[in-house]
Amino acid sequence: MSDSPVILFKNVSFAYGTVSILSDVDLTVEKNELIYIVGPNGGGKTTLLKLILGLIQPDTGMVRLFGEPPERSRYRIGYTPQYIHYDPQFPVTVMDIVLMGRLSSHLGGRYSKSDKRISTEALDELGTADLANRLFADLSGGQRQRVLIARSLATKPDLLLLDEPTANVDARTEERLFEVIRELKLRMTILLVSHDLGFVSDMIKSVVCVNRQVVVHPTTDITDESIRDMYGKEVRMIRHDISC
Amino acid sequence: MFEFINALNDPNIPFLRYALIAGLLASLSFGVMGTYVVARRISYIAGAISHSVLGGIGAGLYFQAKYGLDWCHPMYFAVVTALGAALVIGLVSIYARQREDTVIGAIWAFGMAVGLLFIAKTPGYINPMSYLFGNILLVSKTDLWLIIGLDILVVGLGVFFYNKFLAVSFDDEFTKLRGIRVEVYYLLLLCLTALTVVLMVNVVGIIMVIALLTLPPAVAGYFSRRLWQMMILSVVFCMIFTAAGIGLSYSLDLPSGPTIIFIAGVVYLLGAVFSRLIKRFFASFGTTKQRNL
Repeated sequence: MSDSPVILFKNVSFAYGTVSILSDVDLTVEKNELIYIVGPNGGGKTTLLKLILGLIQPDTGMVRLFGEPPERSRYRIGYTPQYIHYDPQFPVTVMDIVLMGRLSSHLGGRYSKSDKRISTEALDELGTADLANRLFADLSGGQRQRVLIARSLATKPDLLLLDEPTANVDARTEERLFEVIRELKLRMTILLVSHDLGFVSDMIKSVVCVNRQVVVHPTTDITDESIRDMYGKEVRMIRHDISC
Repeated sequence: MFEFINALNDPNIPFLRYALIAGLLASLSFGVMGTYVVARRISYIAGAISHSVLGGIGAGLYFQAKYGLDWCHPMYFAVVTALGAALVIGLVSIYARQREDTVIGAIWAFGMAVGLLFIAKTPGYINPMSYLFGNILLVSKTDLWLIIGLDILVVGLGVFFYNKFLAVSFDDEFTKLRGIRVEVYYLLLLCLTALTVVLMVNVVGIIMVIALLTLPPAVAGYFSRRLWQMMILSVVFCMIFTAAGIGLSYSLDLPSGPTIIFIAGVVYLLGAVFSRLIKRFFASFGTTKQRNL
């Protein structure tokens, strides 16, 4: 079991009605990899995520998560959505939300001391410990994003799934976020989704390009040409510290 | 006021005492479940459940009078109908989302229609107004035991599963991905709401009960940072509204149900105005402070 790849797609196709979203996708993600998923809007990134999370079933082919159907093993994913639809009047503090990461081991009553400790550590790791008692609705976009990541870290995941973590975030927050990811990738598999290729940095081994088809590029192979192929048009590329 | 306190001790009018005790006891469930209903934004579902309860009450009255079945207490029928309506609406909203509002409307009106038909065919004269708008003369000692039993069940489960209900209400997708069976908790939430609605049917009636479920949490929401704070404040507000309403209705010779709801509504509206003024005051205070810096 421990040998099975974290994520395995075999000949996976998915269509909404007659509109094909993903066709014939093969993908393998091994343990402790840091994978960057890119592609234009509408290219199928969200569908790929939903398939990994077992929220939708493929029309053909097979999806395995830790060697099992996703519904059975998805509790091992720490999922951070791009944003959540929430009611701004909902009375809920940051700590309340991060504690939700501890739900699967929780039956009822109050959260245990260790649940609270793990949640505090998760907040601390993202440099948001001082926000614990703030109302979620009072936070800025970047702070909210970090709180949601802390919530998925509190699940003690084996696979961290970050959907557009740098959208709506200023450059400084983005930089801090990548410092955190650099730390985290030492102990878990990380999947990062983005619609732009802003910062393929030295810590990423391969980039998964999703645009109906799925193509895996080692970062060394990425050239202006391969990017143009994948987006189908000229895109402006800003790279920081590519050392390879 | 003294007059009301004397009346509470008057052995000749026990119903006033029963009504007050029933209202105060039911406030516990109302505060807890009302908070969930407001937070999860399902007050229209609670409305459909409470209106459909008339179907059960009508059936109970009919079988009781027509066949002399004493155990056919309308309240038992009300409990069963409320749970049935909650399950139907819950299952429809889980498995066929786009038809949810139609089903809610159908159950809302259908339950009332069934109830009124039963009442029309029940031997003797029954005034449906008592059930629609409440009549504290209907509160009996048996009802108090029923309320105590349901109170323990509803508050017990509502508090025990607090974290799960909070998570399901705030972000059900994430909760589902944590391996929590969100559908089960959603149905449980609706069923507990159904039981809560039944508790106050005799005091404020099936039409206005929804206001007593949502107004106390709405007022409490102005002062709460956490969901549990909102619950505790809702219980307090619900108790104040019912006690003040029953007292005032006795002193001024007014119907109790509408008096309770009127007080709750006035407090809610005042709260809405004042909370806006207070926020504006703090906002302007904040900007002047920033300007000075």
